[in-house]
Amino acid sequence: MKRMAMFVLTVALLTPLVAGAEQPPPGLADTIIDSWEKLMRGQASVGKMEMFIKRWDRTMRMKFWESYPDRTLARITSPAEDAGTGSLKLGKDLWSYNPKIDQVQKIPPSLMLDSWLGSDFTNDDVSRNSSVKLDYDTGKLTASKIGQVKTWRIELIPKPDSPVVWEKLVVETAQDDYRPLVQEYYDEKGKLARRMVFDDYRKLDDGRNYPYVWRMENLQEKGRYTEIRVLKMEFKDSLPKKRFSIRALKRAR
Amino acid sequence: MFQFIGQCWRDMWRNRRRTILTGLVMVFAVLMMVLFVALGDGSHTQMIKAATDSFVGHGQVQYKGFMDEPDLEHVIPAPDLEKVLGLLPDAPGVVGFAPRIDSGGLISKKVPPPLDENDLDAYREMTSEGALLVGIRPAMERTVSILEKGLVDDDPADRCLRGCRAGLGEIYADTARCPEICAGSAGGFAGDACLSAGKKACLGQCDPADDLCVEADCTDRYAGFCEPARFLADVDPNPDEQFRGEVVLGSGLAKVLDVGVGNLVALTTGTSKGRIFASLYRIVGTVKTGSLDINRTFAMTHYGKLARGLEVPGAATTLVLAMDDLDGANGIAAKLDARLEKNDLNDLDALSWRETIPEMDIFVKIDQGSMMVMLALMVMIVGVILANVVTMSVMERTREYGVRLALGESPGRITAGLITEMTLLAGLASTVGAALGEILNLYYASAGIDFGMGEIEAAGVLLNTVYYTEFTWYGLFFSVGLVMFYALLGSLIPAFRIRRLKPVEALRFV
Repeated sequence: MKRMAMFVLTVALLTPLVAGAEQPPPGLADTIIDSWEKLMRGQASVGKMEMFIKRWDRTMRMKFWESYPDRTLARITSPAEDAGTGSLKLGKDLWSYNPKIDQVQKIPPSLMLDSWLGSDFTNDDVSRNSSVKLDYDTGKLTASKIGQVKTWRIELIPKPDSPVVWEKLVVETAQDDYRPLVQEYYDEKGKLARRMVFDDYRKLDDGRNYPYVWRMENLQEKGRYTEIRVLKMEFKDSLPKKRFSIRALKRAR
Repeated sequence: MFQFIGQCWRDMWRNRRRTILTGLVMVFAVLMMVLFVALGDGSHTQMIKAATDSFVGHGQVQYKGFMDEPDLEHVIPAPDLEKVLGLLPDAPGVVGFAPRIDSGGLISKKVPPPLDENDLDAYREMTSEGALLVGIRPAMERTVSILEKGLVDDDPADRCLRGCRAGLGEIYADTARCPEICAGSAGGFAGDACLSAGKKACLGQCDPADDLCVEADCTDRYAGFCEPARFLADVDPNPDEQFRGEVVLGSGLAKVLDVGVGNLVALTTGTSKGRIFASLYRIVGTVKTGSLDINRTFAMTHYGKLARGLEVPGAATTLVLAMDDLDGANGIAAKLDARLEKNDLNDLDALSWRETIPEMDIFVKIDQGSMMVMLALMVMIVGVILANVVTMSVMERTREYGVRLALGESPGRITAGLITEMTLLAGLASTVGAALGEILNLYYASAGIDFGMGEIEAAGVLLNTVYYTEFTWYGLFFSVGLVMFYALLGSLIPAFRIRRLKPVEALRFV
């Protein structure tokens, strides 16, 4: 009986310490999200990437230009039949351009959830990836693990007036350097619908540790995913405003 | 026997006023029931036809799984389609068929680039919409749908104005003079008159030094506006021009995009292999049909070119069927399904309209159910009134029956006479009521009954509230039978009472 009482007392005394080890400091969730956005974007960036779409067993290459927080231009360079097709995002507006018919088309709100260039990304992903902090509040933060890597799981809850389609997002980052590893998308029923996995981290010239593989898994359609492989990535202090214009969308090189 | 019936006939007319009044109640009861059933059946047929004839068809052949995942991965492959097309001409119950290919995409008005390409406001004002691009074969389509009949009438004045705006460069140019330019030419806005108005609009309004102010360019922009509205040509006029074609838009979609006959629209969609397929189409007409989906989202073009563009040449997303019996559509589809299986086309399903538009089937069933409840209530009311009238008219004759009993006539003979009288009267009244009912039925079947509510939406279908009645044998027999039944039921109560009637009491009856 005495031994039993000692055991209970020990457990009672140690529990707060164990729990304390997993308790994140206040404000950590916001710090992680800030760090994540700084890592992934910076002020401006230019690069080349390859997009593999499993559904069609198809690979496209494209150039992209991005200026924080809400300007993006992407243009397909191969295969030849799609070369010249591009997307331009300015604020909340998204346009596409097709050289075969020399026509710029604005993507209407009703098609925001449609596939972007036939991939598992949606037009909404492209037009809304500027800053999660604009549309989401940080929620619960819990400690977790992916393999041997200790992680933080952060819930991102949509702001009350934010026009987003997801019930919540969950971002899982490494505890050591806050690099993102997984981003999960939960639908309005609270079911996990998509998962983005970040992989192949490489050191860039400016010292940042950047993921060269982004894999969006469509969990509603078995075996379907789209993988973006970054071929070249260069962060810059700024890009000229004219880089993000309709003229640039039509003539980007 | 005939003598007995003759006596009953004479007895019936001894009090003409009473017999005529009782008969009239029966005539109106039959007439009302005939019309009610005919109106119910007519409105249901109208609903189903509005839903099926506009586009969906009475039945469809589809690749298995297409209902759940209507995409280009579930198309009827070209060899299978060819095989089915060979089977259909002698398929029982199938009176028309047409293959279609469709794909969802983005549609927008084609406009020349603004003078200043950095003028973002011009691009922000652009209207694009989600649309369903449908490839059809116009000649075959006529056998399964009434799409072509929905063609909106040509409006030369509107065409001229839009042509003028397009000629001047749409959203960024000064188009204020267009109404003046079009005022004189609206009446004969076609051919040379139209081209001359186009040149006047285009060349007269721009700076000749400007690149856009080119006569050839101007004429080209105008050409499409010089042809009155029409449906797609039976044969694609430019089958080899893969990225250009003609299109007929749903009227609602045209309105949202602010386009009409003559305007160019750009359409972008994905192919069966995930590639991007973009084309320019000249609008040759707009249609307004009974289907809200068609009006709001459909863009119809030639089948062959679209199927090639979507990288499924010769394939079809649906093979639409017209059948000779709407109510028997399930049976016709089942027979065709068995035939497909017999010909090793196991991956294909033949479906009736009840399966392709189950929401309409449910809607009709709910409506039929509510009409049955109303009919049941009506039957009860008619029954009570009729039984009451018959009972009262017989009760009135109690003294007469007392005299006949006192004179030695047997109660059984009097009862039999009463039932025979009522059968004769009900038979005569029902015949008159049914004849009058069917005459009115015939009239309303062509003239319709206007409920004055214009068009209402039900299960995605626009229904006109001018309803047309429909003749059915069951409606006729049901109404006549029911009135006969209640008339006899009403006469049975006093008939049995007569059997217990004492002559002395009967003679005292007032």
